[in-house]
Amino acid sequence: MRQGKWRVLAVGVPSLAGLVAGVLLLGLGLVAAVPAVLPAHGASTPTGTTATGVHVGPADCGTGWSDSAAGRRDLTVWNDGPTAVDVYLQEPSTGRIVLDVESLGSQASRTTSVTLAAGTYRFVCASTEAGSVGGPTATVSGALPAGQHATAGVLPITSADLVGPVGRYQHWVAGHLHRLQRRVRTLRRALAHGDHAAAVTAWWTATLLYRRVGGAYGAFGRFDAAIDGRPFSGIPPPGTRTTGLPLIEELLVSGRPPRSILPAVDRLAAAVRGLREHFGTDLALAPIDLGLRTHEILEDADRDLASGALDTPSRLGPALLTADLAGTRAALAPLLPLLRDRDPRLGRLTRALARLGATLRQLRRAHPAGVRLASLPRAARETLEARLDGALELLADVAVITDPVQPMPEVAP
Amino acid sequence: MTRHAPGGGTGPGTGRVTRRGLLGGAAGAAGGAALAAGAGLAMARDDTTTPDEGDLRYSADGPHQAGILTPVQRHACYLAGDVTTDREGLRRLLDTLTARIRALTAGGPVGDDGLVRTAADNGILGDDLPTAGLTITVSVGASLFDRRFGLAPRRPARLVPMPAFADDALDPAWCGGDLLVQVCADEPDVVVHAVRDLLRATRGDLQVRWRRDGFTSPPRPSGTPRNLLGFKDGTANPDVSDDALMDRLVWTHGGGGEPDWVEGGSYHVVRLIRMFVEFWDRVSVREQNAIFGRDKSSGAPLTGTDEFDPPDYTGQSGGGAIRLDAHIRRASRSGTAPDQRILRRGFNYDAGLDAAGNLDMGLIFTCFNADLERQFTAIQRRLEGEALSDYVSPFGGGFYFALPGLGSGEGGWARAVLGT
Repeated sequence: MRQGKWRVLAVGVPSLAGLVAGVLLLGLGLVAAVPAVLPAHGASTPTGTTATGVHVGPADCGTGWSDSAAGRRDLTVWNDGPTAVDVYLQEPSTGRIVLDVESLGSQASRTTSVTLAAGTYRFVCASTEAGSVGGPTATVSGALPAGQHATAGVLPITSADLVGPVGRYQHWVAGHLHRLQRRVRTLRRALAHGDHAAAVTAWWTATLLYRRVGGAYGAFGRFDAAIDGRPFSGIPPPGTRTTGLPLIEELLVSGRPPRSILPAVDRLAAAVRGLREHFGTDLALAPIDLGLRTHEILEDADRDLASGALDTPSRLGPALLTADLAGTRAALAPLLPLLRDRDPRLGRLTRALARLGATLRQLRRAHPAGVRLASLPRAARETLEARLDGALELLADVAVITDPVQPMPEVAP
Repeated sequence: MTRHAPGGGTGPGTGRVTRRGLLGGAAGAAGGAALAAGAGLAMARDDTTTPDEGDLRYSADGPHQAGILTPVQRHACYLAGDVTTDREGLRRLLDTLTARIRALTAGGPVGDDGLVRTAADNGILGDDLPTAGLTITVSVGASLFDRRFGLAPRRPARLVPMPAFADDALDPAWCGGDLLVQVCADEPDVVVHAVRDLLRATRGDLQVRWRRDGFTSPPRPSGTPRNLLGFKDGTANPDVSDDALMDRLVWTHGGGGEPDWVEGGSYHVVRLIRMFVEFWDRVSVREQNAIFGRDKSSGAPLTGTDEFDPPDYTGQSGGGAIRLDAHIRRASRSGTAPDQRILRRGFNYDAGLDAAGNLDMGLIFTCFNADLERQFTAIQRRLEGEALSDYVSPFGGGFYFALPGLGSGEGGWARAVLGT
């Protein structure tokens, strides 16, 4: 099968095939297990970078990896093992990884460009069957060629590292759900007493509380649809309807008799109760979710801003965005200890979030009774979009950095 | 397909025309074994190296920006944006644009992203960027010199907001902008790649105000490309290989009321002109010819036989073949003012339908000139009331100033515009 693959690739360039094969086999000292695309260590590519071929199956992790000079290279990793592997190139002295190739299938190879500064590096190959296996270390020496910059590596984060932060975030969410439940009770009481104004205040507070836990929506399952059911405003997919907080907003705005709104509030209360019972037990965030949601909350907000979905009947757009920002900060906070020595743009991110917050405060001061965001003057709208976009570009890094990798094995003495 | 700068040379501002080799420089010096192994890798990459052959590249560096005298490419995207940051942010924005323009117009392998960021490149051109004649031209609007950045004293002397001319129906949403970025290339994916790259790199500091995409047609069957009214458009352009002529007609110079930093720039006029093509198609070709003053089929003036025959405007009282309200007679310079000529560089646009279901297409009229009042505006005023005005409607665009070339001064665009 391996040789078959080799032949297929070689057919296209018959005059080169023999020569190439010879060089590859010499370079790796292996005969049967070399795909044609796995170049000899130290070979030069057409773009002037160095090509290196490395085996990354659990049984031969790092074979082909040897001492070399600092600089840019095309690393081709080949999984000749029986199952998929995640592959890392690690600098054991610092623990940092400079290459992360995940889900490389059996018999598959992948080429990635990486620029290595002087140091000692080894491959780590992780699979379900064999766990994490460390390969031999090799030394990269010398200075980087002019104009080249070392690939920005990172101290890897494992799922175990994220257990604490996810737990702290879930605790924060649970506290909000408790407050949400109390607000829904207040809302019910106000409606039962026919107090429309108090009902609106309670609804508003409940809406903002729920919006703030947006980082956890993905873990709320069926309860989210009952609490915040907002069908697509064009042609809604079958079975979707307005429920929960948005339905109550519609009913409050439409001037219905307060008591007629009670059944909708009872359904909302049941959903919130159900969510509180299940959240943190059978409904929980996966370790990867926290980093993802730190940028996805505002990605959703950006889309809502573009679609007009933030322009609800109550014109709460700036308040909803402020809740989104608070939710983003809440998801980010437990990750900060991990990010401090990993995210080179953390300072910029902090400033970008502060600027977004300042822009939102300005908007809310200028429009204390709420405003339709679509009706803002161009300059104000552009500033808001720019602050949101600026924060999003930096938040995206957090998801990349906190994407958990497999644990790294100890270095053999 | 490689095209060369006008006159086969390297005219000012057009940049060098280069051809990226099949093998990079470093590989040529490598030994036999290394070369063979390199070829082994190339084997798997055959499909990416082949298009490199003849990939057309214009350098972004030089005394003038590319995309002005450069032969017009097949595809374009015009982005007008507002600067949404402070003075220091504007400096960062201009530096970022400079770096991205240099990288994009150089092409080649994309950088590696490391493990602390999402991929910087959007990937739609693969890992080895072709250039396909890419040029990215940056211009500034009059609004950049308002109070926000303290730049009022540095405004190019002739840069004003575009006024509404007599036949205009300007929509503010389609006018102006602090910055105009004109992205042109021969392949549409290269344009889109550059647009996404530029907007991502400047996100937070720049918000797009309006955008319009354009294209030019190949010669049908020969000569100057046709616009969407079916007429050859741009026949009377001045010769871009004549440096002295370009110095008079296109490039701005410091002194005489202009700040020094404008040396090597150019006033950049963009007019978004809707064409009522359904109406136009119901007009007889005889009438269309009279409206333009040219023969639709050949492009020849009605007083000549071939496209490039000079028109004869004698018979001013109406006795001549070219009507008094014909487009080319109104637009042509009078014999006494030869320096009125402009360098046109327009693109057709085709943007779907209007609200009533009519085809929304027309022209992104673009021209460069050294003096708006002496050149473009003088011509445009003569066009007011021309016969063509019933069939077209200018609705947007603006007056901009194309910054001097990237290689023209210490400190680059930020120093030029901000002065410090």
